[in-house]
Amino acid sequence: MWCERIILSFRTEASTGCCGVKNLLLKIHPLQNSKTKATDPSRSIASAQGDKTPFFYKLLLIGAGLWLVLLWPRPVFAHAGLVRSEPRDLCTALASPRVLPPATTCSQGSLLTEPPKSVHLWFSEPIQTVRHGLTVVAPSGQRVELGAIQNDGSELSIAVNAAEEGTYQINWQIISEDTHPVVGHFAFSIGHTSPVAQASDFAPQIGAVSSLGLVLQVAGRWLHFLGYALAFGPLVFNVWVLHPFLLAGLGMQVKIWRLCSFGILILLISEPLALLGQTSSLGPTQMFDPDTAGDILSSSFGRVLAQRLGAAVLLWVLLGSIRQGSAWANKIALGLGLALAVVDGQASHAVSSGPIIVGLTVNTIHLVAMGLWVGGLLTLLTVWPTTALANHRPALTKRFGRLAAVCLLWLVATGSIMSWLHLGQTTDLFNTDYGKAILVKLIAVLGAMGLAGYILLKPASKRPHWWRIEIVMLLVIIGLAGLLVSLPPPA
Amino acid sequence: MVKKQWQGRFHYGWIVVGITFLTLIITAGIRSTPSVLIVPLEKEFGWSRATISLAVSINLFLYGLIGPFAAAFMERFGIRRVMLVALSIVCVAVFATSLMRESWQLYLLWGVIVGSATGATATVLSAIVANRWFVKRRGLVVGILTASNATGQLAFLPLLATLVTTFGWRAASLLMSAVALVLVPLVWLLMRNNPRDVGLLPYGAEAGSEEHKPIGGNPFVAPLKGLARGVRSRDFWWLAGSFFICGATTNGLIGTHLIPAAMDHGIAEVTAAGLLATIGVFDIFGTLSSGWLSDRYDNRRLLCWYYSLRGISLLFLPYALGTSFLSLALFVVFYGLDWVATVPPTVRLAADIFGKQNVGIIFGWILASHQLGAAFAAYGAGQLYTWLGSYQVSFMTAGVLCLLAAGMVIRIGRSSPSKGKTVKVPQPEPQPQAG
Repeated sequence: MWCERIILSFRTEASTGCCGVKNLLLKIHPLQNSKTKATDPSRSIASAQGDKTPFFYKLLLIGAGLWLVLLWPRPVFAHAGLVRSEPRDLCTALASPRVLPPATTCSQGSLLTEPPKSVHLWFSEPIQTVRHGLTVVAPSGQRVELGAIQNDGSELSIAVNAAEEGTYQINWQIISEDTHPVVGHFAFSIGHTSPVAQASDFAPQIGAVSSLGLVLQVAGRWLHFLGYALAFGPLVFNVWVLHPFLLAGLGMQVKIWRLCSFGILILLISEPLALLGQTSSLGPTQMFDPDTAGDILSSSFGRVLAQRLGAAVLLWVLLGSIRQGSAWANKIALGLGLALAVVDGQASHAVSSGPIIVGLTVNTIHLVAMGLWVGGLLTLLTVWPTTALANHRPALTKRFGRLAAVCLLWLVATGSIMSWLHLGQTTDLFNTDYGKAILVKLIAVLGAMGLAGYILLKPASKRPHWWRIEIVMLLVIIGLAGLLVSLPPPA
Repeated sequence: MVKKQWQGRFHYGWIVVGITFLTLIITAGIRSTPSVLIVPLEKEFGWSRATISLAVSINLFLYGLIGPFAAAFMERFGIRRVMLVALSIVCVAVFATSLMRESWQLYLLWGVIVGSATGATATVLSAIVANRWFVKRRGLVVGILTASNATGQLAFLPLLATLVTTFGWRAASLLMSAVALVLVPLVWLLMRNNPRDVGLLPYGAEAGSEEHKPIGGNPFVAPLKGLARGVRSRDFWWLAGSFFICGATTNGLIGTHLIPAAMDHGIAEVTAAGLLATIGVFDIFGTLSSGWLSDRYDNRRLLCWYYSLRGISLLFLPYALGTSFLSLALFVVFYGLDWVATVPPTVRLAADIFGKQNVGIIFGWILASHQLGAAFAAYGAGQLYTWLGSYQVSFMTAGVLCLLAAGMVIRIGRSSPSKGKTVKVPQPEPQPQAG
């Protein structure tokens, strides 16, 4: 069968493509003379492939695109990180975050002879403050900040009255430009060291936020991605897969609209969850704090949240028109899906990896391809039992298979570019949480692709059962994507 | 015959329209003054933005609520007398604001008194003048007077802002008081209640045709009866709900808070007021085009487009404010075209659903809902600003609300017998733009 051949050949191609990308990552670092080396892998793919399928050309195109992208300068920042502080943060402000000083020095901080008049923090990118964004606790447990926090782009400062001798604790919490919450604390001592009166209410763990916050963030993103796939995938499936067979009028429209409404509902539910993820990331006690929530909504996160909600509501409006038979509304809805993917880019690492246009484009394509694949597959499974469809099932599978294969190709290509953009060096793949998450996701993707190939070897009647397993794997992959977006990539 | 002499020449109705036009544009201008006073008052008295916004929202609310009752009062006591009383009250109250010291004086003067008095001479006045004095060209007259009212709320802002920055905020108050004072003798000399007061028939009326009959009864009871009839219809709630959001996002949020928001981003007050005035200019084009479109297309679809586009532009306003002046100018043009463009389709839908006899009072209540929304947004945005130090949450909420309104208007008329397409009601004057 044509589509099976495509999937199978694609599987081998994609995995070699993946290795090619990894080769690229390994080889062209540092960037000098990347030109000659970068062309080698695509050539080897070409020779390995031998025949000239359309995929070969597409892959070549992507190879060329990759190569162009890799010529851009490296990203400068990702999550906002503390670069420098006054007094110095001995735990993290040192050159390499992975070389920690002895625990005692870190927990007591630098020993000063004179009390500082103010505390200054410099971050790697412009940041947004939240209430209680910078607090200083004296050894006696008293808060010693004077006046309001000054936020000068990427610099935070506050005046302090640090007359007491002993160890002070500085707690800070900020929202990065790419909507990620980041918290931290460090100490400094005046005259002599002493036990810290009040440590912050939690120690930031994975991802420089509280664990509960990270879980909620991932859950929010997972739901959002799922909602995106369900809201827009069925519409594309309808236009691209069902419509050419003139199958639109066979009672499947209702099923498609129901899936789409369900997607809108999930999109709407994911937003409050995402907000809770943000507030609790700053500290579990702040989860339901209205001041913190208000300040977060006033930050870049609030903008993205409102635009996502707006997109969901607008799709609801459009769905009303689509049900009345407006072809225009259908087209606008597809445009809206693309727009929502761009909006989502603002809340990913895309905006923080320079140049923004590349990060944003790649992120958008990745999200759209995910939506088409996952949403399309879910729609296929939903309409599958329809009896009127029985004669068309092979043709439908074939047509959807082609769509899925193209999406998969784009997913792998854009995913590789994003990994390259966000990994500082190849060893980050094994040393950092972000890198490990990428590895796990890569394995899961390969597994899902292998399963897809295996399913296509099965007789058509047995496939739906296996496709359900495939769906579960895809949902896991989406969850891993949510984790990747929530974690700070190594700068 | 008197009628013969006047026909073909200049009908006195046009003088009445001229006087009404002046009154509407000036009272609307006076009503809008507080938005250039927010920052100066904050600086002089140390009042919070929430405090000042509360006065604006009382003003906006009464401005709308008084409408249905003002109509009844005009029927009872005559247009001229109501206009004279309202203008005199406005004149005295605005003068008194220059002497205020306490925030309750702000609530009383700018909020209660100016709000009610300007409300008495607002949209309802244009409807009554057009109906009494015109049979032909009625659509044109309503168009001119509605636009003057909406535009008057924005057109004076650059002048007022210049006065505020050069001579202080009291100069703006005194000027507006003086303008109202000049208007009083003009209205007294030239305004007439009915065509028959000057021995005429309404413009374009045939001799012996039905003359205007005043509605009998208590001026307080008729509007309330109308409301009781309206609330039983689901479409009334869709219309009133979407118009609530319309008011919240125009007069309430942008009309009141765009100037201080722009000033927060380092734009000079006069420039910021110029932005609002530009909205006013584009509003005229938008409203006239919308009137034209509402005769030709499904009014629910039109409203759906207006609200969606408005919602999207609000969602992107924080970017426009944060970046270049050009993108803010783009927002202003776009928003201006959409400002009261919602009025003609809403009026048309209300007339289709409730019938021409009831539409006056029902629309009065829908308009009151518009002003309630405006009041709610003016106050809410002020409160949020005091709490969070920025308008972002207000703009974003307003944007999402507009998109919800787009979903509401598309559902209008589904319960009525004319399912699918709005029933077209013949306009009294089908070519309002021709003249």
